[in-house]
Amino acid sequence: MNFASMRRFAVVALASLGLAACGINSVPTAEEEAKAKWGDVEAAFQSRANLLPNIEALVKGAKEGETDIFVGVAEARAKAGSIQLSDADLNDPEKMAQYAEAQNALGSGLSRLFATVESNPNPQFTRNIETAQAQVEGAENRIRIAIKDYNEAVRKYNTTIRTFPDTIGANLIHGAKPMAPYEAASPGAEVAPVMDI
Amino acid sequence: MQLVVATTPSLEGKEILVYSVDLARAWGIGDAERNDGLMLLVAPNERQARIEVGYGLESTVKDDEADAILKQAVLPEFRNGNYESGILKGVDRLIMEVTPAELKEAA
Repeated sequence: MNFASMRRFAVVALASLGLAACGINSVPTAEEEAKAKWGDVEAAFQSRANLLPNIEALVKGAKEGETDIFVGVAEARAKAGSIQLSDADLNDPEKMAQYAEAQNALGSGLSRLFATVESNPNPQFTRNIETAQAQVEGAENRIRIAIKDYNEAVRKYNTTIRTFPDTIGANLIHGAKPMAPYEAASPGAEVAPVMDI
Repeated sequence: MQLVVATTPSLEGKEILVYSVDLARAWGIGDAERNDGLMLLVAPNERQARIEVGYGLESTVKDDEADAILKQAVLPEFRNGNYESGILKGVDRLIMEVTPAELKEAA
C-alpha cells in the first residue's frame, strides 16, 4: 500500500467512524427497539382481551341478576378494541393517552365485575371466577412489565435523538421525532394488588 | 428449565412484580432462547411472595395455577411462620406442574 492509498483508506475509515457516531445506525436501532417493545405491549393487552369471552360466558351462565354486569366490560372492550396505534401514532402523546385511557377503562370495568360477583354463593362459579381473576391479574402483570420495557426503550430512543453526536444524524438524516411514553392515566391505576403473606 | 428459590431481606422499595422480573433477568434464570425460568421469590420483611414464570413456560405453569400454588400451598404456611415448609410445598407443586404427564404416571 503506497502513501496515497493509505491516506484514502484513512479518510474513508475516519468518515465511516464519524458517520457511525452521528446517529446513522444508533437512531434507527433505538427506534426499532422501542417499536418492538410497543408490539409486546399490544400483545399483552391482546392476551387480556382474549380472556373476556370466557368471563362473559361465566357471568352470563350465572344467576340472572348478574347478567347485565358484563355490559360495562363489553362497552369498555369495544372502545379499547377500536383504538389501535400505528407506528406514527407512537410519536403522538395525545393518541397514546387515548389508548391508555381506553385500556384503563377496561381494567377498571373488570375489577368492578370481579368485585360484584364476589358474593355469589355458588362454589363452582366462585372457583371459576377466581381462576379467571388470576388469569386477568397475570395478564395485567405482563402488561405492566411490557409497559415498563417500552417506556425504558422510549427513554433511550428519546435520549439518543437529543444527545450529541447522535442528534446530528437524527435531525439531518432521519428527521427523528421523540416517541411518547405510555403513562397510566391516574396515579396508582397500574398498581397490581399485592398478595400479603 | 431452571427453578430458583430466592429470598430477599428487602424489595428496595420496588413492587414485588418489578423486583422479581428484574432479578430473574439479571440472573438469567432459564435458557435465554426458551425463556423457561421459574422463580419463587419470598420477601419476608415486606410479607410478600411471588411466583415468576418465564414466557416460555406460561402454557405449562398458567397464571391461575401459579396463583393457586401461592394461595393454597405457600401462603398458609408462611402465615404460621413456617417459611421453610411453605417454600418446600411450593417447590413441590411447581415441580409437579413442569413434570410431563408420562413421568408422573411412572412415578
